[in-house]
Formats: sequence, C-alpha cells, structure tokens
Amino acid sequence: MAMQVKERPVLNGVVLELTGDLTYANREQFKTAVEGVRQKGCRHLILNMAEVRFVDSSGLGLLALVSQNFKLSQGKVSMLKPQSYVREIMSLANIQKLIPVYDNEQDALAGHQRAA
Amino acid sequence: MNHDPVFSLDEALSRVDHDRETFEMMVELFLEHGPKDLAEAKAALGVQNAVGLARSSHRLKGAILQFCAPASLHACKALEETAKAGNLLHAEALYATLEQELLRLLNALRRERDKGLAA
Amino acid sequence: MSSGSLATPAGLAGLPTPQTVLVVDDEPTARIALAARLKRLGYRVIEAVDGKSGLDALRRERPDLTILDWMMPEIDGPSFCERVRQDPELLTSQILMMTSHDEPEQIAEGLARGADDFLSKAASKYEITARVQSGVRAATLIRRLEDATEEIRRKQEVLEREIQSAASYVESLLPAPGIVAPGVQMVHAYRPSLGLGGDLFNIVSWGDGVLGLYLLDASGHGVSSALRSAALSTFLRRGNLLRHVGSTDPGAILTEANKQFPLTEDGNYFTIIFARLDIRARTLSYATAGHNGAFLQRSSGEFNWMARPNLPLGFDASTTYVTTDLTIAPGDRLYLLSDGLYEVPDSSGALWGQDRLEETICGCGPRPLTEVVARSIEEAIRWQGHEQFPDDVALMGVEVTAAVV
Repeated sequence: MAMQVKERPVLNGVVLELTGDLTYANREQFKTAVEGVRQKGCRHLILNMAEVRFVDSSGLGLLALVSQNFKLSQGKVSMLKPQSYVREIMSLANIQKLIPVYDNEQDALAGHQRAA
Repeated sequence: MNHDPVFSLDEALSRVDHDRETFEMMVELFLEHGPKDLAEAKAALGVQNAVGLARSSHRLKGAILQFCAPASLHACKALEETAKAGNLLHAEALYATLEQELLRLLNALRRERDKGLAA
Repeated sequence: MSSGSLATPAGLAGLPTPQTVLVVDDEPTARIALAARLKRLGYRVIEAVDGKSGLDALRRERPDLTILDWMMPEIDGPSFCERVRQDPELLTSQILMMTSHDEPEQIAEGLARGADDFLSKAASKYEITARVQSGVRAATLIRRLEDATEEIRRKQEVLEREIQSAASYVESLLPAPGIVAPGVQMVHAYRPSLGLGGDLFNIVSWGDGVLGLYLLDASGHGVSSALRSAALSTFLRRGNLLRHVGSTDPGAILTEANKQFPLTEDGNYFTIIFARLDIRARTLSYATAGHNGAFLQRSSGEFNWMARPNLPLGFDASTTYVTTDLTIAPGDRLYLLSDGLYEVPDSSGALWGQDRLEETICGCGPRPLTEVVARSIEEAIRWQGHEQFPDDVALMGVEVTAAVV
C-alpha cells in the first residue's frame, strides 16, 4: 500500500502525518518528505504514526537514518501514537532510546523543550 | 516520341524511373513468357480448369501492369476475376478479348524493341 | 531520376550495410520491375521464383523485408506467411503481401494468415516506395528489440551464475550439523529468499567445552545484504573478537560490533543474537540487538523467549549491550532463528507469529531435534500455503545432550 505524507507546522517544529505502510517500497517517498522538512531548517520532526499500519525492517532502518540525520543538524525526531503491531515492533527494537515515543502531541512538544 | 495507343511508353518508362536497361529486360521477358502464359490459360480453359485459368491470368496481369496497357489489363482482370470465382460461363468470350488485346500489346512491344527505344 | 533522399537504406540511422529485401513472385516481368525499383532505392535485393525457394531464401538470408505475391504455385502467399509464423526462427520476419487492387477481403485474410502489410500490384511507384520503407523501418525496430532482449537474457544469465556462485560461498560458511562438540548437537534449516540472503548463523567450538554461537540478520535482500553478513561474520571469528573486543563476552562483542558496523547510507543494519555456551559450567550467556528470534526450551518443556528490547546494531553508536546469563542443563534446547520464519503471511496477510511457532515446537514434545526443526519449517510452509518464503529463513537448533563431558 502506498504511503501518504502530510506536513503540518507546529511550535518549533513540523508534524508529518503518515498514512499507510512504512516499507521498502515507500522509502523514497518518506525520505523525500523528511529531507524536505529538514532542509527547511526544522529542528524538531514529529512523526505521527497513528495511521501507519505496518513497518518492515527497511522502515525501521529509515527511522534510524532520519534520527541520525536530524542529530547531525542539531535537531531531533519524536514519534507519536504508534499503533498495535507497529508499537510492538518499535518497542522490541527499543526505538524509544533513539526516537522518543509519545501518546499525544503536547507531550511530544513538551518533551523537546525539556531536553533543550 | 512514339505513342502507340496499345500501351503508353511514357508511363511505362516512368514507372521504372527511365531505367532503360531494366525496361528492355522486362520487354524481353514478357515477349518470352507472355505467349506461354496465354497458351496455358487457353489450355486451362479448354479443360474447364478454373484454378489453372485464374493462375495464368494472374501471371499475365502482373506483367501487363508494368506496361500501362489499359485494354489488355481490363480484359485480363475480367478473366482472372471470373476464373477465381469459379465461373467459367463467359470465360470463352473474355479469353477471346484478352487474346486479341494481348497479341496487340506483344506486337507493339516487339516493334518498340526493334526500334531500339531511341529517346 | 528519383533520388529517394528520404532515409535511404544505407543512411538509415547510420547503418553501415544496406538493408535486404526478398522479392517472391513467380511472374518474372513484375518481379524484376520491383527488384529494379528496390535496387534504385538502395536496397540489396534477393529474388525467389516461388514460395518454396522464397522460404529457403528467407531462412538463409534473413532479409529485413519480404515482398510476396499472393498467387503462386504450390506455396501461395498466405501459406508462405503461415509457415513463417509457425517457425520460431523466422516468425518475427516482416512480410509485405501483394494484393489485387479490387479485393479488400484479401487484407482480412492476409492479416489472419500472417502478413504484416499489403501492397497492391497496381500501386504507383510512390506507394511502393512508401510501403517498402515503412516495412523496413518496422523490421529494424523489431531487430533492435530482439537484439536488446537477447543481450538482457545473456546478462541475466551471467548475473544468475554469479549469484549462484555467491550463494554457494555463503552456504559454505554455514556450520555442518551434527555433534559440534562433546555434549552439543546442532541441526539447522536455511532458506534464503532469493537464493542468496542476509541471514547467517554459526556455532563454533572454542575448546574447553566453550562454544560461541550467533544468528545475524542483515536488513534488505540479495547480494548486498549477503556481502554485509559475510563481513560481520568475519568480525565474529574468535581471533578477531579477541583482537578487537578483547573478550568473548556477548555484551562486549555486540557493543563493539555496534561501533564497527554503523547504519549504512541506505539505512541498512544488523540484528543479531550472540551467545556463549559453557558446557562444563552449564551456563549460557547472551546478548541481543534488535533480534527477537531466540528461545530456550527446557527439558521440562518450559519455554522462554530470550530477547530483551535492544536497538539493532548501527542505530546508535553509544549503545551498550548487556549480557544476560542463564544456567542450562542436559536436555535443554536453544533455538536461534530469523523473523522470516515466524513472520510468514498466509493468503490473507495474517502472520504465523511467535505464538504459533511456540505451539508447534511445544507440540513436538521430546521428539529428536532434527524432527522439530523440520516440523517448524513444514508448519510455516503449510501456513503460507506455498514453498517460497518471502523473506530469508534461518533456524538453528542446539541441544545440550545428556552426555556429560
């Protein structure tokens, strides 16, 4: 299933609303959307995973890549509302060590400010 | 410039882009094969062989087309069509017309060949 | 004198040799007139006096275009076309059929029996030229397509041979099943999805009753993941471990491997479980990095999934991996496997899952290890409904046998 990405600016950052599967097939789409946001100088990228059905091993790698790239430009990445199966994958891989996971947007925004 | 009404030398030459050598070869071939094909057509007609008649008249048509001779072509086409349709009812008469026109054409071509086809 | 300047055969797309046209007509006057025209246009011409010699000429010369009369003795035009289309060597030949001007039904029959295009016997020289050029153009395109297809096929063959060779090498890195050390039996199953995959596992006796074992999974498929796996497996050789890590402690090994094997540009990484089995001390130490395919089945039947949540290798260079220690007893069985085994989907997309794998293993009871491994693969195949696994599948079962060293 193809992935849709919608951008939404928030305080000090950008939320990317993702719909669909974060997989090998959709990697270019995801990478392009994220790069676009990063190059505009975004410091805090929040990935809203509420509508993401599935993440494969490529998708996991992409998340790591995005996190590393944002760190290089002094930014950070947070994850919002991963659902059931996706949530399980994220926790088994201990992703929160790399990308903090939040259940609502306020917490995500607050989390960033605390760290800053 | 000779302009025999049986065939149009101008048109025939133009069809081969005024390649005299090829034209002369074609005339020789037709002078040799034309009578043979005509004889075969006659023989086929004699035994009511529509297929054989169609084939012979088809061959003749192919050659006649090269020389832009409308009367011969018309007669030949008529004979070929009726033979292909398997209808030999009027074939005798059609053959007679073809034979007449074709002999005229062959004579005209022979005359041209003997004249040397001077420009 | 017409010059035929538009795309003359010799000048067509810079082709060095003139294109060839075969003319098949039993009527000589018409045949040589057409042949002469074609030669004037710059084509090389071959003439055939009937269908049979026409077919021979076609086979021998492989002309770009064949022009043929409809009515001919023995093999007529349409029959000629039929024979050509039935011959695998000749079937893409371009054929222009002569028709009578006043018989359009011929065209339908001609097409049905294999002609590509038509030319009336009474056609003007302009039409003849146009049809011939269009026919030759079509033939050139087809030829290019055939050449390109052939080249792709050849290259594909070369690639496949190379992949086969690489796959053989990777398989040669796998440990031989059986008694790998006194008191330790191993059985494995290995099904890379494309013949070549990113899963590798090994069990090596380090002497004194100590064995090192691991199962690693390089993300992605095919050649590049296989290369990366081979690189990591080289790092995991005992000599290299002692040199670069300074110990055979699983946690320390993964911590160092994590630094040595960062995330690639494409976002590729490894998941791995590394374990150290000490038969004499009866201990099993292990560490996992993003890898959940590991469980221990006690001789009592008790079943424990071993993995702790941990980042895969390469995600964060600062990660420290912690070693977990367990005691083991004769009859205990350790299984290391890739997620490709328990994540097989059925026709509706539902995954087999770790729970069903656990059921299968437990359901086998005390059956021999070989049977249990075989049974697990069978059940996965049964779940997905066919033999071809979408992702690499690796399963290594290790049993601490009752024999005491």
